[in-house]
Amino acid sequence: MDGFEAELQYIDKAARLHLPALNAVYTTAANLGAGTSSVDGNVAADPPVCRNGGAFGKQWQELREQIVSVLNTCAWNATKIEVGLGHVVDTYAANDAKIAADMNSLTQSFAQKN
Amino acid sequence: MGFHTEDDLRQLGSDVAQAAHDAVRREAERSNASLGAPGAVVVADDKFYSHYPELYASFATPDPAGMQPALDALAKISFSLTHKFPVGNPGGSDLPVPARDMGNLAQKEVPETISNHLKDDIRSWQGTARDAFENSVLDSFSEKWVNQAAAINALAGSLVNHMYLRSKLNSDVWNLGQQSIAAFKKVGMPSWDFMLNLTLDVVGASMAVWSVWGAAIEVEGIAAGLANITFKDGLSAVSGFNTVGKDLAGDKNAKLDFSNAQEVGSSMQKNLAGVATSYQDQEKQVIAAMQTLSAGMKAPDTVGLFEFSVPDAVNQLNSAKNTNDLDSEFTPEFSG
Repeated sequence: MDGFEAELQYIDKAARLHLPALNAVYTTAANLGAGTSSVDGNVAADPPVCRNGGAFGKQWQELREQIVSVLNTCAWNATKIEVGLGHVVDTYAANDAKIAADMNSLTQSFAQKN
Repeated sequence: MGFHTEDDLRQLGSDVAQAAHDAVRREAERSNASLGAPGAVVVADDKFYSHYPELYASFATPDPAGMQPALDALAKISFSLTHKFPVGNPGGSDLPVPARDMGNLAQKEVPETISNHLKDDIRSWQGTARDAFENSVLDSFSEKWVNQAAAINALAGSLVNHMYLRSKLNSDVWNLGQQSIAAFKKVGMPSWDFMLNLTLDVVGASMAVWSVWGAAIEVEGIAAGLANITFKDGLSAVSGFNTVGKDLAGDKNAKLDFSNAQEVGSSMQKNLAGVATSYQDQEKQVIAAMQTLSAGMKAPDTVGLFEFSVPDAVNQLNSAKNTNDLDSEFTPEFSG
């Protein structure tokens, strides 16, 4: 393997191993956060004696949705960067069939890790 | 004693009403006896206590234990971002705590580790897009995930507060009902000139919660600059949470003070109203703190404390048609 291919492997690792891992962290987090809506009915059900019943539930839901939005944005942005860096790898690999084959093999090994 | 349902509370209200009814009857009998007309008295049911079943039922809520899955999920999110359990050990308190089962999350890398890998991955490359990725995303990454974790801990802490207040409301109303029955039973009896004292600690509930969650939010949030979210009132998102309950410190003793059955009833209702007001007042503080944080996470000038964006140069990498297009954008420093 020449020096260039070794350098390219680092970018392949960024695009096909580490950025997908970052996306996975944020996707999992966003999904867990969105799933908490299953208790919204309970959270909002203040006792009838309280005049402003449900005020906590409304604000809690709003903050939760804002947090989930941030987590989703991070997940999407990790994927956008992943696509850009993946294209860098593919563009360089297109000049050399051996490098292209090596990158493909490396990418497949990353897929098993994620 | 477990959580009391709406039916439990309505039955309690009926029991209190029955005790009040008996007290009124005894009072009437004592009065008649003093006038020389002893004997049983029939008391009408449309007295001041007839609404007690619905009064007690109006304090009913679903069991806060039903919110536990959300608390557990929030703990998992926080853990997935930091690999730290989101809250210190509450040390034997009766606060709701998240389940400690984090599943397979301990085997997954956290954003901090991943961003360090990414820095290593691009170390020997150069170009505008590469630098934008490092400078705009990776260099400030720690600020994002720390603030994200602090926000999630604040959301979870708010929920714990809500769960705990619900639980305290339920047990305080239950205790007040039991004490009221005891008080009504003394009315009209040979020796009943005493005052019942009952401690309602609903007022102190928020303090207990924030002594645990507030510390976790403060340590992580302020360190990362979450306190930079400032608003017109000069409060930061973090200080908003850390002042919750501080002006409500100290337990409040509720008293059932009376000299006849009607006064027992008035005193009981006054205390019940106090419990409801206390619940609402403490909720208001947490609601205000959540509102501040939520607004900060939306505002264009502070949203960047929480989420990273994709630099234009990185976004445009995908349009490169050949390696020449990448020369100034993303290219190896060394090639041989």
